Amino acid sequence: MKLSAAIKELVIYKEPKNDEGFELLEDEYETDTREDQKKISSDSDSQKDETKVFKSKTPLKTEEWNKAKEKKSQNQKQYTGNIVVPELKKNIERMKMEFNISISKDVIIREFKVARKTDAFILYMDGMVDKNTINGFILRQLMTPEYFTDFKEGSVIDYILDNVLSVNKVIKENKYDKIIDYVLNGITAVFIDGCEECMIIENQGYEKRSIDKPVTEDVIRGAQEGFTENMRTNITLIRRIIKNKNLITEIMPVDRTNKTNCAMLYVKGIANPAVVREVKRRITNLNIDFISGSGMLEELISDKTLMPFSQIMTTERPDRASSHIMDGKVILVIDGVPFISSIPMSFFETIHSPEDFSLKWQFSLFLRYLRVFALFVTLLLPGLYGSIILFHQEMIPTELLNSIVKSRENVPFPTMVEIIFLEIAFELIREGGIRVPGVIGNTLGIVGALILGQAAAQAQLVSPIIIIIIAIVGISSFAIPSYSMAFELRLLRFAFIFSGAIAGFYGISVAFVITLGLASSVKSFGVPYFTPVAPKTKANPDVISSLTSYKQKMRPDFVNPMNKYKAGKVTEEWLRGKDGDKNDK
Amino acid sequence: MGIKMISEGKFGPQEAICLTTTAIAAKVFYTSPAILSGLVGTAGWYMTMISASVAAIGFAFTCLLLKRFPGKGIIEIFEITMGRLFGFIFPFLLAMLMISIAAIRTREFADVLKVYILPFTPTSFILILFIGTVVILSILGLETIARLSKLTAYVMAVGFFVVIALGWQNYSLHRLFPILGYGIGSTVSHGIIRNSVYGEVISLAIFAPSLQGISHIKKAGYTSLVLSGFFISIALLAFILTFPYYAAMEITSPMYEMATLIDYGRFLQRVDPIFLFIMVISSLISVSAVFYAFVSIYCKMFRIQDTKPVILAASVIAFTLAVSQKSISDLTLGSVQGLRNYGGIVFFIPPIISLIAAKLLKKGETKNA
Repeated sequence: MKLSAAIKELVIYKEPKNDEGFELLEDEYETDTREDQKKISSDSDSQKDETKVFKSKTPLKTEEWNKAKEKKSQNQKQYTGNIVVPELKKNIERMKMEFNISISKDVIIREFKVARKTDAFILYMDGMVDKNTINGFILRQLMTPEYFTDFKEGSVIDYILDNVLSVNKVIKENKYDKIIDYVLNGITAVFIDGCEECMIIENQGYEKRSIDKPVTEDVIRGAQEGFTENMRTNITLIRRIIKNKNLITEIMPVDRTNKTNCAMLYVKGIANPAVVREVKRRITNLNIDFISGSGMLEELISDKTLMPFSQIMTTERPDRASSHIMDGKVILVIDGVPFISSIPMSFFETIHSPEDFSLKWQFSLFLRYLRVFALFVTLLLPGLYGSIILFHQEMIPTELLNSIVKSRENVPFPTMVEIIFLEIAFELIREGGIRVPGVIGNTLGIVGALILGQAAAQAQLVSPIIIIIIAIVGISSFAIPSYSMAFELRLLRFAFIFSGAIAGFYGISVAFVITLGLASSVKSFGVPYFTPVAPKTKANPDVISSLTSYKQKMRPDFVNPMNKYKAGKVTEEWLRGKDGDKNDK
Repeated sequence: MGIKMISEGKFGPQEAICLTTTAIAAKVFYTSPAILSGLVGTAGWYMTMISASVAAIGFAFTCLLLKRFPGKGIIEIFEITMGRLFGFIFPFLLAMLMISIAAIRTREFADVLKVYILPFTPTSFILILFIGTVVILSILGLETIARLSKLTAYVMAVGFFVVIALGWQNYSLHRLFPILGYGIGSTVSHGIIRNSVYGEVISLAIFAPSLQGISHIKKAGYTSLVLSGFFISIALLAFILTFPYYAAMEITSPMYEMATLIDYGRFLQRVDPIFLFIMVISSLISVSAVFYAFVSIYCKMFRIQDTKPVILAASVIAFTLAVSQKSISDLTLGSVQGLRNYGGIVFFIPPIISLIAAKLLKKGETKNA
């Protein structure tokens, strides 16, 4: 910098530059995004415009009025029709406008000539299609004149479908909105000049995760396959297990803008049509832009969303989903979610594990009772301990009371503070363990719990007995097979701790009755939560006690299946001396 | 002309049995066994069977009445058979009895809890927590209360028998004598008078539209009378075997006291926590059933479709009635005794009068009556 310029800068006053940076102002670009309102407002806007034209330029000359009307009708012809037009240019323009091609760079429009004669273009989303199919089986075949030597007259598209394209699934479509949906789902569209339809070629080829072991429902014996994020793969996994021609797959979009696909699976002739209709009614009547995950969908279609109890069962195991379908339930497979939803559900299913059906019934029986015990421990143990210490010291045997008192004598905090502090610490370790990546997460959880617990006990901030209690509760919560149920219990546990703190066992009993009362009032798609116990319905010996397989002859009565029995009067017909392979005749 | 009914949902005979049995049998946990020792000495355990039999006869007449009017509840039937005026008085008396039972049982429960478990907690706090829960259950509805009773019935039955079985070490057969108590006459007369102990069975007639037909009502009614008679009788027998009858008169809650005496070595001693849970849960269900019966009668009497405002108002009345009892002695010797001695008149006489009126005026279906 020159000296003179430096001196000038020092002496002369300069207005400071506006360096506030980007600021998003409230009314900038803001529009009402509700589609129904938008529609109404757009209608009223157009009316307003018309009146504006008439009002501002009244009286209009006849030529001006005709001109305005003609322009308006031309615009409507070009952009608002929903049917594919024979003029290719108009179709290209329309697609460019719909997909915002000038801004959006992953929508590909490739123009070419069919058999070196007719103009055409291909439309697809980059990254969502299989490019080998496009290059080798669509473009090459359409551009090669030899394939068209037999073509004399008639529909080009029909000729191509019958003679040219060697792709397994191709359909014709003439509605723009449907074509757009197809393209957004990774399907390729081909428009040909002079045709009032376009070809929809299924050649999706996006990246997806391969089938892996289920994360939350792992078993030792039994299938090791879990669902993935891909809806088609998930349906295939179920179809591979249920080889039944009456297995129906209905696919429908669940949200308005995103058009997330959801497949509804059930077996015709077993599932109750009323349940199927109700599930479909609820899904197709959702007025929301975007559904992210099955949890959101569950909330939106459940009967009582304010209740903490999950009213739809989820699983990530195809074998379990298949058994639910064969029981007469309806399954929802949502695109992008590796868990499926099973409708309707009962509370008692939350203590069932897929492993139960892979083990001998005696082992399953033992495990079921263990889980019920774990359920009560998770829910009640911290609250009970707090109640005993605060209210009912006389109720525990003297020796046990002595050891509790000794362990607590140097702890400066009240019992409830101790319990709450350790419960929150445990929840933090659990949450932190999930967020920390990979193997470190598990290690952090174990090391964190060990170090924290031991340090807290040594520093006499908490008594050793409370650490034991919280650890038992933590382990018990992991023994509950349903993730949702385990979460519900984790939350409700705090209510029980609080009620135990204010009124001892009386408070806990009150909280228990209220919780049970609230749960009893819940219905999953019209089915009471505690069925088949309350209300009593017919059921297999598989509610809590899981008995031998030959006794399990009925489908759950609470789903009102059309076919009530899943086994004959005698399951083991070989005992009656029947011989040979059924096919050997 | 039919009364527009409030929607109370549907439930099956099993839930009805559990609901009625719990509503009846819960009173064995309070002061009644001690009072009974004063009245009939050692004969209480079979005296209660006489009461149950009398209640069964009363219930039989109620069933005959319900049979004439299929699908209708007793409140509606009262109006059809007795006209608007008398058809209003009988339900009104029944409603008053129900709210009194709810309030007095709540207070009895609170006093027992205060004596044994929460001596430093104010009675009003115990009452508020209790009535608050009853209000929540009532808002959730009859269907929910019935399901809750079914769910908890198994656990309560197991807990009850555990306490009875573990108390075995304190039983002495000689305490059963004199087996006739204060004499057969006194036992029978008290047995007949105290039929109101089983009066809650009439709630099945109030909730009749929620049950599926007269056969279910009959089945539920008689089974719950048998079951509750069995539970009460077993509890009284265990308590008479544990305490000499002259000492038992002084005990506020003999069943609780019995549970505290259990001692099987260093670890297995005092099973009162189990007993406490059974007592609280059964009391809550019992009072909820009776309280909801009041709300149901009231709503049907005045053709009110929404039960929630009535529930909230009724809870204030119940609380006021409960706190207005001066002391536990006044409660047990005054209000509880009054209910036991005269409650049966309101429970079982109006249906008989109504049945006679229906026969005389030839109302209702007569072909199977």
